[in-house]
Order: sequence, then C-alpha cells, then structure tokens
Amino acid sequence: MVEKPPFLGFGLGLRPQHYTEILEATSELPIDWFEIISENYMVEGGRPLKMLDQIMERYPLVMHGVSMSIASTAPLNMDYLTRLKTLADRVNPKWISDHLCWTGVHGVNLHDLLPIPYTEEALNHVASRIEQVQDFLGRRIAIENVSSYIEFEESEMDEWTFVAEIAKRADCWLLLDVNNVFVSGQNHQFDDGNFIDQIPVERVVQFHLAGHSEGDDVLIDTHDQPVCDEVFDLYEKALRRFGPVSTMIERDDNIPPLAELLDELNRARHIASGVLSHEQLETAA
Amino acid sequence: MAKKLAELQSQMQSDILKRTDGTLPRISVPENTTAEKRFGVYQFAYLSRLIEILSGDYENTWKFVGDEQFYQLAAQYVEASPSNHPNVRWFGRYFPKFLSDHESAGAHPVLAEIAAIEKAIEDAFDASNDDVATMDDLAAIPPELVTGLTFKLHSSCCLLKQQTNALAIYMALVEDETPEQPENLDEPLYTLAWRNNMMCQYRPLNAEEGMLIDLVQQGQSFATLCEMAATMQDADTAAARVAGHITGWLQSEIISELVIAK
Repeated sequence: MVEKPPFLGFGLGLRPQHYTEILEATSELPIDWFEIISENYMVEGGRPLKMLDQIMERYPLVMHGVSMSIASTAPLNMDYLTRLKTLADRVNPKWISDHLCWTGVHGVNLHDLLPIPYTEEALNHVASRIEQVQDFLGRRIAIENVSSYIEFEESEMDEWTFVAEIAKRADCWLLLDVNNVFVSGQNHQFDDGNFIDQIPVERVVQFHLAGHSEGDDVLIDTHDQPVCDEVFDLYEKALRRFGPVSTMIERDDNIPPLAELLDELNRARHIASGVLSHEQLETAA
Repeated sequence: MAKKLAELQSQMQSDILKRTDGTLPRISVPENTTAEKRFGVYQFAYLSRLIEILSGDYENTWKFVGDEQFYQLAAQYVEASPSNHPNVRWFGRYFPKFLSDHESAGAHPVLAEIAAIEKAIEDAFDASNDDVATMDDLAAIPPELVTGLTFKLHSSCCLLKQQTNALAIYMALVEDETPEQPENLDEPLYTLAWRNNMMCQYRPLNAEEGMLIDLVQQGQSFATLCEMAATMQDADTAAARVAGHITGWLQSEIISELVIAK
C-alpha cells in the first residue's frame, strides 16, 4: 500500500466570492489549503485561471470534480478526463477527487450526484472504471461517498461495505463526506457511527464538512447552510477513528462572508485539538 | 458491461427527464415516507437546478421578462435541450437561439437579443488568454506591407448585429433602471463584447466600425477595409478613419495578432 498523501490541516472550498479577500489579506489567513471545483477551472482562460494561478502560489490545492460520473454505464468521457489532466498538470494538486455516483447516460448530463444499487455487478463496474481513470491520470484518485434519498431493492450490501470494497478493489483513496454520512443515515435510518467504523482507516485522505437542508421526511444535501452540531459530533468520532485527516468546510450556495466560514473551520480545528495530539496536528503542511 | 445497472440508469434518467415513475418499484425507502416522494427529490432538483443555472447566466433576461415568464421559458428550454456537457457552465449556451426560435419571438424579438448580449459577455469572461497585439507591433510592420495586413481578433470578441434596442434595455437593467419599451431599430446596431485586462467589456459600434470588425472577422486586409470604409463616408479620409479604428482596437486589446500577407 502506497503511503497516504500528507495531512494538509484545515481548508476551505475556494469560491469566487472570496478571491479578493484571500489575495488581498494583509495578515495570514487561518486557512491551510483550498479545494477547487475542477470544472470551474476547465475553461480556456480569463479571470478564473488568473485567480487560480495566484492562489496556488500561496496555498496547497486539491481538485474536486462533480462530473466524472464514475458509476455511469456510459463510456468514460475521455475529453473530460483529458481536460481534467490538463488542469492537474497546471495545478499540481495534492490529490484529485470525485463522487461515487453517476450523472447521466446516453450523452445526457443530469448535473446531479445520482446513487447506484450496491451490487456485485456495480462493484466490479465502478472499480474497473476507477482503475481506468487512475491509469489515465497517472495517479490515485479519491472517491467520495454521496448523500442519497433513495436506496434500491436490488442492493446486495450496505453502502459502507460497498465503499470499503471499492477502495480495496480499485486501490483508490476515499474522501469521507461526514455530512453525507449523516444525511444518508437519517434518510435511510442507518447508524452513521457504524458507517464511520466500517470504512478502512488507511484509505481516507480527506473529510468534507457541509450543511444540509430539511425537506419533508428527508434531509437534502444542499451545502447552503452552516455545518450542524450533529455533523460536528460525527466529525469528532471520525477523527478518533481516522486520526489526522485533511478537513475542509464545503459551502456551495448561499455563500457567507469568509469570516463565517473561518469560524466554522476554527470549530473543526478546536474539535481536532481535543482529539488529536499536538504532534499529529503539527504534521500539517 | 453491467447490464442491470445500465438498464436501471436508463430507466431512472428517463423518469427524471420525463417525470415518469418506472423506477419506483425498484426503490426502497423507510416506512415514514414513500418512493414517490423520495424519487421526486431528484426529479424536482433536476429542473430547479438547471433553471437556477439559466437565471444566473441570463440574469437580465430574467429581470426583463419577470419570474413567471422566465420560469416558463427556462422550463421549456430544459425540456428541449437536455444538458450534454459535463460542465454546467455550457448548459445555457443555446438559450438565445432557443428564444429566437420560440413561438413568442415574433412578438418579442428583443428577448433573444438581450440574452445574446449576456451570452457574449459571459463567453468573453473565460475565453482563451490570447496574446494581445500592441501599437509597437503595428509600428514594426514595414510600410510596404501594411496594405496586405490582416488582423486576428482576440478569442473573447463577439460581434452582435441586432435589430432591436436590446442593448439600451440591457444597459438599463444592469443599472437597475427602468428600461425603455422594446422597439425595432431602423438600422441594425452592432455591439462588440470582449475582454480587456481580464474585465469583460461591451460597447455599441457605429455602422462603419461594425462593418469593419465584421470584415476583420472575415480575414479581409487593411486595403479592403479602406475600400469599404470609402463607401460608407468620405473616401478621402477612409484610410485615416480605418487607422484610427485600428489604433483604438489595439489599445482596447481587441486584436490578438497582426498577420502579414505572404
């Protein structure tokens, strides 16, 4: 097993609303790294790439995509993967991640993170595709568990068994989205703590912390709210199991001022300082 | 090939696009809810997400027609043009064309033209970082080669030739002012959108400058530009006017390359 990427500390999702504040800060911001949405920078030029170039001079970056559609039965989109690789060559990210989901078939993109049944057939299919992507990109990728609102009658195993097995068979990393574990746990009435306990420690390279919204009999993964107390509690449990794992606040909508996100990030730091030793936290890049 | 998974995904996608329910018997949910409600989250999210994308890309078109009509047009566009690109940035690229082809376009031609302005500016935003030609580059051209000189426009440039007062309406909407009533123009109005020093710009062009940019796009030489300018206004000053326009284009980062004829 190859050594895990480094513990980067505590980061944020990079959003255009904060470019100026980040680049013009007169004192050092308490942000150890940023995660970019890969697709936002898979463009020809202009301000997005200019801002990216400036921010990557100062901060470590990881790339997080939403359109790899790794669990789709449509052929892998090689044009997309080529563009992703080109961006990775520019950014030199610590790692690249995407979701354990599909986004469309037959040439259509639904722009959603759609769930799959947890079957042996799906396991073989997805693991094979992750291997193909890793071969193409020349690096391991990290796969993220998604929030879901439905399960399938034909599933043959639990989500956590599926996720763990995918990581093993494809020899990939995992991005554990703690909010997604909580949301799916509530939606499907499973024990989110047990989910955490069943994920292999050696595979997890990143945590996402995010907010969600409450619908009628369902929690929805909207990323437009602050991280809730229950998710921070689950994060603490995850830290106890996984040790120092690069952690970030992921906010995609209803974007607040940077200071509010830094408050949330400081709460994550505070929780980590109560769980991890000083030495463990010091390993942050 | 994962046949069962492929069949499920085809069914599920079809049900999301058409709001049908073929997937429901395969869905498992807790007792406190129903498969219809839970699957409906995905169906609702599909439409609402894409309409939200359009309302962001075409904010002023939305402002102009109001919530109800924009929602109706956007929903029709979502149905007519399912996204086929992995990057949602490109989902709305056919919206101006959709509006110009729409059954209401005859009565409201201005709408597609406002949307076209918004698209041109958005496309300028992240267009390729081409080189920019300068006055020094022009000065370095041997005088005897100037007549055959052609010009490559910066990739961010988009020349619009519009039949309505869409630009005036757009400019008022941007400033949160009450726009004038839509009307057809006696003469088409050229508008150029481009990016200058990472900032998106747009401005109306007079008929002569619009024609000249159009000719530049077609790869016509300086000599041809002068000939055509002579047909528009005073022939004696045509070369000087063209030179003036070229100077302005170079200073505004509209030209990426001066090409000497071989």
